[in-house]
Amino acid sequence: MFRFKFALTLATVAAMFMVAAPQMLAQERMSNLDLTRDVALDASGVLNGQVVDSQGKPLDGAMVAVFQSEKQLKRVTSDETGRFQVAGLRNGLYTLEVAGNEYPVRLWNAQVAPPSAKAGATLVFGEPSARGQFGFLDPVNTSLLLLGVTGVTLSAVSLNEVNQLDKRIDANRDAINQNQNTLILNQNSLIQNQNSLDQLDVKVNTLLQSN
Amino acid sequence: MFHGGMFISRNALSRPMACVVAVCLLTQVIEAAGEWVEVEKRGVVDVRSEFSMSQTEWDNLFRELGGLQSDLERLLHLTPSSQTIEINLFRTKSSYQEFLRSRVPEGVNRKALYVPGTDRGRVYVYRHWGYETDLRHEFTHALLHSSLPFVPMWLDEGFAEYFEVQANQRSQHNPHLGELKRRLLFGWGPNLAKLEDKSDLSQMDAADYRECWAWVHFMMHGPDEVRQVLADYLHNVEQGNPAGQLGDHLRESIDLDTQLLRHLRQWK
Repeated sequence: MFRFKFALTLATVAAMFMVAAPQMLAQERMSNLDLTRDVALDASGVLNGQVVDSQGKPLDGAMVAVFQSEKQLKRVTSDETGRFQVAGLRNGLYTLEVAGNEYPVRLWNAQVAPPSAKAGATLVFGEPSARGQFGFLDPVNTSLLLLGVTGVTLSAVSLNEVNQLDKRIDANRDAINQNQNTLILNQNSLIQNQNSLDQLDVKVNTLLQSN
Repeated sequence: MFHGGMFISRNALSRPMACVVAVCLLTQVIEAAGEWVEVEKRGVVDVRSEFSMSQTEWDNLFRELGGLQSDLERLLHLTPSSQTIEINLFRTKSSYQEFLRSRVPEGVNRKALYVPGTDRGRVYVYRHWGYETDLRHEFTHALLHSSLPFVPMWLDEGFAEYFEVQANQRSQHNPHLGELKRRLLFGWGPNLAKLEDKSDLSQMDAADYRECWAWVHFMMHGPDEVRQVLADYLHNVEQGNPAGQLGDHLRESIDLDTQLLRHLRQWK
């Protein structure tokens, strides 16, 4: 019975650790949040906007709804160039909605709009994608990736294996440090090779010019 | 304080419970990454580092980032944004990967990463020889996305490649230029339409990154009308005006492929 209680306590503590991190992340994400965009109405009081995908390609036929204080005021559809117009709006805070995505805007009359106000509202449809540089794919990384992806089913991974993995990581770290020293030594050779390449470039340029 | 070996060696734990503890311990291993030794915020740039830096190194880092920010705003006529850019510097590659595994698993196999967010942009870079190039590359993405509502991927990567080198290498002495000139001899030709069709990073290879750089170099240093097309496009995107496709505007203004090839051949 004591052992059961002991194990139960452990499990509770473990669960607390598991849920703590995502909560902190969410809190971190919500900090410093000001998503409202300033947008100027045109001279005739019309809101101009466009719906595009993440590559900037216009989306035809997208339904745009305008809300104020959770009350829907207008609904329009984008044309083949992705543009839409909404008339009859005044200064104030509104929310534009496309396919469930919300875009808070602060609308201004043209005469009183601040310099930061945009001439139109751009609604980007779809999730923004990450940008990354060329990566690396070696056996150790692949193992680590697989371990990460299957993190939710880790019951199959024993602690022993985790410890061995840690040792391998440490060993690799040492090897990396050694390689870094070698790289620095090789840098001098590279500089010399660069000089040769520069000379080759001169010859290439000469050939291109003659062509 | 948990200690791995102690709990696992207890016979009192049933198999399911041992699994729970293993998950807990691994969670702790994952959380170990991202233990910031130093944090410093200047302006919109919020840097968190897993390794300590001297005051001079901090100053140099912010000077480098500030210089890049000023250059981007000046050269591309971008309005400074108030959105925070968070830069996460990791001690080692394994630490970087540990951190990403729990937060951005799809980025684990990337050498460096920029993740846009509605609240802030996040850059992830680990310390290694020449890591400042990675930092400039990802910081360029972050600056562009904090000022513009969208950036087509080919243009985004082209700018990042262009600005990742030190300022005195942007126009001349860029490694891409020599490589492109060598390939020109073997009949290489550009294909902007192919680049425009790519919307996923996994579709991009080394040749694509090189071509993206070539187009941006051409628009930054090429004929006046081409530079004007780029300026107008960026202005319209920033202002929320319908901007159309940059490639279409370029094709309307000149014989695009021929001009790019001439630009590359003649550029020293």
